Amino acid sequence: MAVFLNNGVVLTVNSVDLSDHVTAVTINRTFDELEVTAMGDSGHKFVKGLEAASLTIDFLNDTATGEVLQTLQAAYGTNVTVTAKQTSAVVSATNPLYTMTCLVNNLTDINGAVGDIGTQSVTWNVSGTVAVTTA
Amino acid sequence: MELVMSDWEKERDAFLAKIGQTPEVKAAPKPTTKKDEE
Repeated sequence: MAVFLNNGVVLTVNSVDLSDHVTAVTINRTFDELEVTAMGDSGHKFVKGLEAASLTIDFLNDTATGEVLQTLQAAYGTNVTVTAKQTSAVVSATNPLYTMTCLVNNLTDINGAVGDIGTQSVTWNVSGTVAVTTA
Repeated sequence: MELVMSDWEKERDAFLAKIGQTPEVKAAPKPTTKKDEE
């Protein structure tokens, strides 16, 4: 068993490492389930359809050059490559790299009440599939 | 893994070309150190 503390995720957006401004990441990997139930079946049957993955990231907003806001603004409305892995260790079977093309949308550049840290939580749909590599 | 990386890249490149988004958006340059911004 290899449980772990989830404090070392490495995340890049359009090749920019924003890990030190990320407080949470969730890769939602799903696919459509197509029903193929036919006469004679006594229960529903399904096969895999199109993938429909998405990625949810919580950012600490930062206006500095090359940081969160500039990086996301440059990518806004476009499909960019996003990568994530559990730790900074070399990619391996125990530290796979997830690579996906995301349509950057749902930005909240200014967000929060007085006294709050400026943050944004974004959910991006994946264009295509999520590639999982171990080497 | 269902797709080998080369197949995934080929599919991505074809998609980006299809939507007229090649080459990929250039990333804003990241400062060498955080101190530079202060």
